[in-house]
Amino acid sequence: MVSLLTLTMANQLSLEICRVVPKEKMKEQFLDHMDLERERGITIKAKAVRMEYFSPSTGEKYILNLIDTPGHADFSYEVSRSLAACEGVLLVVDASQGVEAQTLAHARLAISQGLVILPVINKIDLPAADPERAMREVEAILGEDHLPFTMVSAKLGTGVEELIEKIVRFIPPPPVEDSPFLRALIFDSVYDSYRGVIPFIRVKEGEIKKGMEIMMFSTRKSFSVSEVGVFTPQRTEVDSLGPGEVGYVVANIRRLEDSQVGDTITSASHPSPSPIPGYKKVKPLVFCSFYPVDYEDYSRLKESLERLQLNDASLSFEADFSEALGFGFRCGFLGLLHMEITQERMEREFGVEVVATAPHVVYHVLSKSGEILEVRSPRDFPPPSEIEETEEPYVEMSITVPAEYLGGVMDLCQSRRGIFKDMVYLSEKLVLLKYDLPLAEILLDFYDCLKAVSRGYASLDYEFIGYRPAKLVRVDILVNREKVDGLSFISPEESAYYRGRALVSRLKELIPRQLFPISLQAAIGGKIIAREDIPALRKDVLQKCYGGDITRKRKLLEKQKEGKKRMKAVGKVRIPQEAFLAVMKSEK
Amino acid sequence: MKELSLYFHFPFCLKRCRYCDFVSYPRRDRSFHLEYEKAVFQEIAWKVEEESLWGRELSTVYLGGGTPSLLFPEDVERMLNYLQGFFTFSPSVEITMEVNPETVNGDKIKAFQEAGVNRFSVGVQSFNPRFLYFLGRSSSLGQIENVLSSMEKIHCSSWSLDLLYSLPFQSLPEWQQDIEHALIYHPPHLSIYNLTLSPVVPLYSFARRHSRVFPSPDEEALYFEWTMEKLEQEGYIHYEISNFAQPGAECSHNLTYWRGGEYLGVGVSAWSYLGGRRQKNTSSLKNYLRRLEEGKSPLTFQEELEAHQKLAEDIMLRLRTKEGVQSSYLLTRYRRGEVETKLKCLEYLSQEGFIIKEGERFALSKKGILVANQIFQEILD
Repeated sequence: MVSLLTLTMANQLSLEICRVVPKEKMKEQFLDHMDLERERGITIKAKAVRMEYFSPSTGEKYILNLIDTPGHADFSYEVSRSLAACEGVLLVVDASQGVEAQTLAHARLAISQGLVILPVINKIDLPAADPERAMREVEAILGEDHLPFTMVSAKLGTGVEELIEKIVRFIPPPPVEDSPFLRALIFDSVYDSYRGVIPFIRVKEGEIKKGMEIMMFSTRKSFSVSEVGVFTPQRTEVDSLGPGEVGYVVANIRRLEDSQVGDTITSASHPSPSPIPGYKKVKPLVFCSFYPVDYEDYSRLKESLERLQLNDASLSFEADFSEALGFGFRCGFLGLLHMEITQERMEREFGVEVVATAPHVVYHVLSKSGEILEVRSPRDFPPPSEIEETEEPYVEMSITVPAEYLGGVMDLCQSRRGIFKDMVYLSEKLVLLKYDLPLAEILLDFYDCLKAVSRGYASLDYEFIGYRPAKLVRVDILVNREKVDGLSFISPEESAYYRGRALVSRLKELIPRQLFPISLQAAIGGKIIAREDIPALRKDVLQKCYGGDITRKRKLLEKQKEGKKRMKAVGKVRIPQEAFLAVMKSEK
Repeated sequence: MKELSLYFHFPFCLKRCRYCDFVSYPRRDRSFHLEYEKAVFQEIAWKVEEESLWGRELSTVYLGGGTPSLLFPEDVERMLNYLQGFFTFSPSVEITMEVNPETVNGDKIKAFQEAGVNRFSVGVQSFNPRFLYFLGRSSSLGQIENVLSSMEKIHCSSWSLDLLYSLPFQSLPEWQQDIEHALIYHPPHLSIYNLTLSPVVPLYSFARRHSRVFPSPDEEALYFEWTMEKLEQEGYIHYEISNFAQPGAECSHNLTYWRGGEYLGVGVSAWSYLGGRRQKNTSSLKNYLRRLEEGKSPLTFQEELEAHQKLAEDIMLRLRTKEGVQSSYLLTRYRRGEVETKLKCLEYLSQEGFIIKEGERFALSKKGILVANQIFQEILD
C-alpha cells in the first residue's frame, strides 16, 4: 500500500502501467473528482484506487492500493488516517522546487507510523529541474543517506515502471493477522444521495462481506452491509474484503457522524474488544460566519451546509445572527483553505451565495469575575473593562525558503508577532525556518505575503501547539455612529490602531456615495481610533427621458434598485457585501 | 376622445455623430428617403387600423431623428396631409421638427414653416468648435448661427435649442460661455443634457480610457446648479429635469410623455404607448422596410404594464416635471394601499429635503433633481 502520491503521478501509475482507465474516460486527472480540485490542482479529499500489476522481475501478480492524500496543512488529520491504512509511502518531491514545508510534516508522520518511505523525485523533465539538490534536501529532512530514490517524470511516464518495481520490492505486503475479529479502519468517506454515506476502509483483520452486520466503534451503532467493493478506480463490487484490502462499504449509513474518519468498523455479532488505535475527533481551529446574500436563502444555506457535512466530517456549524447580516451560521474549519473551499463548494454545488465574515480563531478570555470565556466571534468579546486576561492559539510554523529570500520571510514572521525557534539549511540553497506564530496572524494574508516575499518559492506548514497569553482588543466599526456587527474584529492591541485605520479607509472606497453623508469610525470600546467621511452623492440623474427611453430607463432603475436591495441597510446607509469582505482581507 | 401625440422617426443623417445612439443611417440619397416615407405611410395606415385610432385628435406631431431636416418641405407637407386623412388636428396642434444646422438655411426653414411646422428644435450641442469637432457634429459654428438668426427673421415664436455639457476638458467658464452664447438668440426653450455615452457609440471606449478628462459628478453638479440659477434669472421655467422654457413655450409633445399621455410612434425604432401598452418598432431599417412590404407588423417589443409598475412609472415621470405629482390624482387612479406606501416614501423624501411638498403636490427640489435617479429608486418597489 502506498500513499502520498501527487496528482499526475497517481494517474500515471495506474494509467500507464495497468491501464485501468480507458484514456478517453480520463478527464485530465481522474482521481481528483471535484471540479474544484481539478481547478486548483489540489487534493482535498483522499482518494483511493486499486490496481493489479504483473511484475516481470518476480513473475508474480500484485494488487496495489493507492491512496492519494491531500497535501495541505488543513487536512493533516486526513493524511494521518490515510497513512494508518498504509504499509509504505511514496514521498513525492518536485525536482524544480525541492522540499516543501508540508513534505517535512508528512514525512515525519510516516516515520512516526513506522512506514517504508520511497522518495520520488518528480518532474525531472522540467528545464528548471535540479534532482540532485532535491535528493540532498530529502536526505536532510529524513536524516538518512543512500535512500532508494526514483527519478520520475509522471507527465512523460519516465521512471514510472521502475517505481512500481520498487514498490513491489521495498514495501511489505500487509501483515495478515490471524484474528477471529473484524477490524477495519475508515480513512475517508463520501456521501451518495441514493446509498448514503459510503466509508472507504482498510481491513486490518478479519473479513467484511455483504449481508453482514457491522458496528462503528465510536458510536456503537450497527448497520447491515449491502455491498462491498474496490476502486478500479470506479467503485466495483466484490464478494468480500479481507486483511490488507482497501475498498468501500455500502451499509445505508445516513449520517456522516456514523462514519467518522479514523473510526474502526467491527462485526456487530462478534465485536473486537478494542479499536484500531489513533482515532480522534478533529477540532476546528478557524471560525467564520456565513450569511446568505439573499435572506430568503437561509434554509437553502442550512441544507447545503448539512449536505457538505455529509462529505466533510471536519466541518461544524451552528446558527448565528447578526444585526447587519441577519440569520446565518457560524462554522468551524480546520484552516483557511478549508474555509475557502467550503464557501466555494456552497456557491458552486448548491448555488447559495454567502457573505462570509472575517475568519477568526477561538480566543480565551479570563473575565474580572474569574470566568473563562471561549470567544468565537468578535461579538462575544467583552468590553475592555471586564477583561482580566486574554489568550490566543499559537501554531508552530515550518517554512522552507530558498536562502536568497530568507531575510524577507524572517521580516514577515517578525512583523506577525512570530517567535523565532530554529533555522536549518537543508541544502546550500534551501532553508527550513521554524517560528511560533499566533494562529490569528496567519489567517489574514500570511500565505499571500509569504509567496510575495519569496517570489512564490517558500512553502509553509503549521501545527497547533496551544494557547498563550496575548493583549487583545475588539475594534468596532461605526457607520453613522451605529455599530455594524459584521465589521468588528479582534486585534492585538499593538496593531489595532493601524488596522482600524486601514479598514475605514478601505470601507470608504467600497461603500458607494449615497443620498446622505456617511461617517465611518473605528473604535475600541468608547474610544474612536480612526475616522473617514463619505460625502453625499451630488449628482445622479438620467437627463434624457422621452417616449422610447421610458421602458429602458425604468428597467435600468429596477436593476439598480435590485442591486441596492442586496446591500445591507444600517440605518439609512446601505453597505455592499464587498465592505464586509474587506474586513476579511484587511491589509496589515 | 383622449388626445393623441404622434412621433415620426427619420433615421438618416449626413453622417453619424460620435456620441449619438439613436437609430440613424448615414444615407443622403433622396430616393431612399422617399421610399422610407412611403413605408411609414403604410405603417400609419396599418397602426390606425390595428389600434382603432381613426379620427383621433392629434395634439402634437414630432418629427425626430436622425435628421428630419434632410427632408424637403414638400415631403413634410405631404406627410401632414397624409396624417389629416386619418386624424383631426387640434386647433392648437404643435408640430415640431428637429433641425440640424448643416441641412438648412433661412429659406428652407421658412418653407418648412409654410408646410405646417410651427416649432423647431435646433441641435446645437455646443458653440465651441473644439467640442463640435470632438462630438463629430457635421455643423459649423457659422451654420449654427445662421439657423438661429433665421428663427427671429421668420418670427418663429416657438423653438428650442439643445446644449450638451460634461464634455472632456470642459471647464465651468467654457460651459457658461455656451449658455451665454445661446441666450443671445433668446430661445423660447432650451434642452440641457449632460453627455451620456452608451456602449455602442464610438466615443464610449474613449470615455472608458480617459474618464479623468471628463468633469466628475461633483463638478457636473456645480455646472448644472449654475445653469439652473442662470436660466431662472433669465426668466426661464425649469419645467422638467433637462428642459427650460419661457412661460408658455413648454414643449407639449414631451409633456405628453411625462404625463402618461398616449402617443403613436411611427418609423424605425419608434415607441408607442397606447391603451396602457408600450410597443417598439424594429430598430433595423432593413427589417422595417421588409416587414411593411410583406404587410407584417414592424413591432419587436410589447409590454403591458402591471398596476404597480404603472403607478411607479407615473410617479417617476411626473416627478421629472415642475408640476410634480398630486396625491389626489394618484388616489383616483391606483389602489389606495399601494398609493399610500408611495406617499409615505415621498413624505420621507420631503423631510430629507429631496422633495418639496406643497399641499398635496410633491415635486423634486433642486437638490432632488440632481440625484433624481436615487430618488426614483427609492420610489420603485
